[in-house]
Amino acid sequence: MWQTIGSASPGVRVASRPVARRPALRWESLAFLSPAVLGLLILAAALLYVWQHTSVVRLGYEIEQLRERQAALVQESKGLRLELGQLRSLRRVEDIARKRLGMVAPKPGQVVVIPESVVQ
Amino acid sequence: MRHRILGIFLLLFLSLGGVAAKLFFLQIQQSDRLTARAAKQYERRLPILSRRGTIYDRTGRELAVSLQVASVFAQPAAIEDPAGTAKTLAPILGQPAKDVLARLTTDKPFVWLQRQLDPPKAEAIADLNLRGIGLFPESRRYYPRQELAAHVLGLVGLDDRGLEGLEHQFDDLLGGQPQFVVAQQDALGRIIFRQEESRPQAPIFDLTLTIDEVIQYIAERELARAVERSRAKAGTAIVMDPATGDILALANQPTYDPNTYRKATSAARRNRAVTDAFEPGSAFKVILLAGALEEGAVRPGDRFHGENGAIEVSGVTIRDHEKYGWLTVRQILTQSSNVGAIKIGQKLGKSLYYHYISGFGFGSLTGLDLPGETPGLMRRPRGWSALSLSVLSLGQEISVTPVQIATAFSAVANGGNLVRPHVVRGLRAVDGSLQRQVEPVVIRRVISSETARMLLDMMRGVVEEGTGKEAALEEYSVAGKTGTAQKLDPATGRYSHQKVVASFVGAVPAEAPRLVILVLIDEPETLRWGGSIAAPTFREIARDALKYLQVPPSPARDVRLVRVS
Repeated sequence: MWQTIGSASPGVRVASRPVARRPALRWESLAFLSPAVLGLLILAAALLYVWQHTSVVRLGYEIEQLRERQAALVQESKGLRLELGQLRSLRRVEDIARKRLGMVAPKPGQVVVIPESVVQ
Repeated sequence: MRHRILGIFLLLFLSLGGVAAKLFFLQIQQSDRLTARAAKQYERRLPILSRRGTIYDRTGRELAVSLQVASVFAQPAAIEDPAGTAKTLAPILGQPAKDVLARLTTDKPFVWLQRQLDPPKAEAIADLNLRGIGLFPESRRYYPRQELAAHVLGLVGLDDRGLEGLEHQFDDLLGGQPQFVVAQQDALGRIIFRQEESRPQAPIFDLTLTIDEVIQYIAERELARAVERSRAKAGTAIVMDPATGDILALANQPTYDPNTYRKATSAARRNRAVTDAFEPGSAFKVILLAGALEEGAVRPGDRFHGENGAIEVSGVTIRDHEKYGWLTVRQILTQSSNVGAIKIGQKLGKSLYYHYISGFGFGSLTGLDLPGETPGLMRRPRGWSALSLSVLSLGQEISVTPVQIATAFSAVANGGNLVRPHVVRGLRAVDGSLQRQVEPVVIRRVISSETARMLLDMMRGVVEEGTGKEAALEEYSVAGKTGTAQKLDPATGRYSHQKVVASFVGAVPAEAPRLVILVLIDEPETLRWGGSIAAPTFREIARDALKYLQVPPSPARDVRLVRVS
């Protein structure tokens, strides 16, 4: 087989180097794989697919359950904060302080505010 | 034989044709409808938590929060055993089984059984896991501090829309409309996947107010006491930071609990501090003096004769409570002399007085971030009668809102700048993406700091030796002005002697005011003077608020001098 290489010397025909020939993939060599083994491989692939799919679904359920649980806990926390807010209502606090604990408002002079300039 | 083969062939052809036709019908012609129907079976629109923003006071205490509660519904077609279901549900819902059964057996595809259930009931129903019975989450607004700052916060209706107050004014930003995601479910209705949000939702904001819960509580407590003590029709108290325009407290009487707003009357729900205008009376003499001093029309030491307690203007006699002789400008204010004020008004003149009235913001909206504000009523000098200048000097023939008065006095207290009052301090997106602080806005300088200082000093005289003695505090110097305005009787068109508005507005501590406090009592039956009902209420609010703010006592406070009441 001859061909022209480049344009260095037009017209000169050079013999191409003989290329080592790779052994062609011969289908006959796969013949040892019996149809049974082939079938198993296909089955395994199919099972992998199904397993993946069920895992995704299972995780989906799990995520959804956790999401619900999270929402419920957020709600509970909000509800408790609301109750806390109601219990901290100043009217209630003052009522307890005055009536149940017998506290009174400080008289003039009993609270001494020290101006920051003095502290420094 | 040949016929038979042909016959079988034809039969096969026809039946296959039938299958093909059906296939065409289902897969192509009916495709959209059937796809939608299938989607209906495995897809579900899922309501997601609607989170209306929270409203906090200036220190981060929750004043309005939304909680998810459940409403229980039934899909009658899906119920297999209506009688049994009704029997199970009835005791939880607290309804007769007969009524529940009636609703479970209607033809409607969907019926509410009970809306906004208490959480334990909802849990009990969820645990039963009944077919055809479901819970639908709904957002409900709670006000943990009950009636605290009710008129500022406003209220939210059943559909989660703000109807009054800040809930209304900032409804779009607070959000809270129900939103949905599409989810896939299995045969039992359990969720398998949720589809991620495709369109971005408008951010929802939390509000932080300038209102301080403690000061608000103090103002409400003392106002309620005053209204009760004087058997008044209504009342308003405002506490403001004169430097920034921050409203620290805004209280009205009567009031209501927004948690149960449907029980409240419209009178109780009205935010009188912004919606109601009244004649300010003598408190307005401060505005007159501000103009007169600023323009140099008078000086604090100038003397005017009291005309022995009566002066005639355009055929009308206006009287003082006492027969005064010579009075200094300072004394005219401290004794609240009408004759003296009229003379000062005449010296200042119509157009200049008008200039200062509007300069202090009267006759226009203050720009407060609450709905329903009225600008009040003020006529231009062109429309004034011969009497107008004189009666305006006494704070009549003009109507103003409590917020306008507090804002005008803040300008005197802060050295002459009219600031815009506001109740919202900041906004913050719930997801943290956006944040905005409300900066103080100075609308204009009305008077010089020198004039403001002179006025404050004269107003100290009102409390130390004049009509406002009841406002005096042991540890702080107080500058203020009383007002007692007769109300116009709408029936007769004349001033009523029975119905008055008693007010006191002042600044503490007088040497460097931290607070401007207005107290206004509408139609008190007893204690009908501003000095006798509004001034002591001012004192109580100021005392507790200053203590709470840890303001040091006024320097060189001579306790003996003010211990008068």
